[in-house]
Amino acid sequence: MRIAIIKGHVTATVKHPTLEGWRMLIAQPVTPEGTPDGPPQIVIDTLGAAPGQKVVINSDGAEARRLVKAKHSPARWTVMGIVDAPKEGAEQEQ
Amino acid sequence: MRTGTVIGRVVCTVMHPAFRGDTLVLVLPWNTKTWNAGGKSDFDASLVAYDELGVADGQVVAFAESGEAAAALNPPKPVDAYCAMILDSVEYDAKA
Repeated sequence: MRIAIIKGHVTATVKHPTLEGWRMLIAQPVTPEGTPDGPPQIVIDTLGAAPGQKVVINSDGAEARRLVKAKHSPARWTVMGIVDAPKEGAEQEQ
Repeated sequence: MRTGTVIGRVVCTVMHPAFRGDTLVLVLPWNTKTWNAGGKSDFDASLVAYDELGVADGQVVAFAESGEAAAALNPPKPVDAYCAMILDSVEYDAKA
């Protein structure tokens, strides 16, 4: 799994039938320091992540297929968690 | 799934038997710089993707890769990139 920042969302009418009705967000994988690390991915979100939030995304296709309840689907990345923002004044442990 | 701009079709008269007559399109994948440039420049190395959606040149697709590309097809075909969505609208905030 990877840490990523949500940058926005996409919509698509023409798509693989198993992707119908799922929220598709743009997730930019980042290093712990927050710099972009790898290409942005289109991820399926069920947790309601908003742009700017740091999330944990999972590339396990089997989990994505279980989520969309389909044996044959191109779904891969899914949002597994929304990372809590650090409390004010909490020093960053290295 | 990464995203990419479709720039053309790949037509092969002689093809792997699993592909008999199927459509293959040439895609320029987007990386972070491409996204920040509004999908206009700095593309990654092009790749050929299997297409069932009838993508036209210039359209932006989200394509599955590796295992998920083959998994999208029933019966599975020997494919490592598969056009999963044709993007209608993209809301992207580089500073988010």
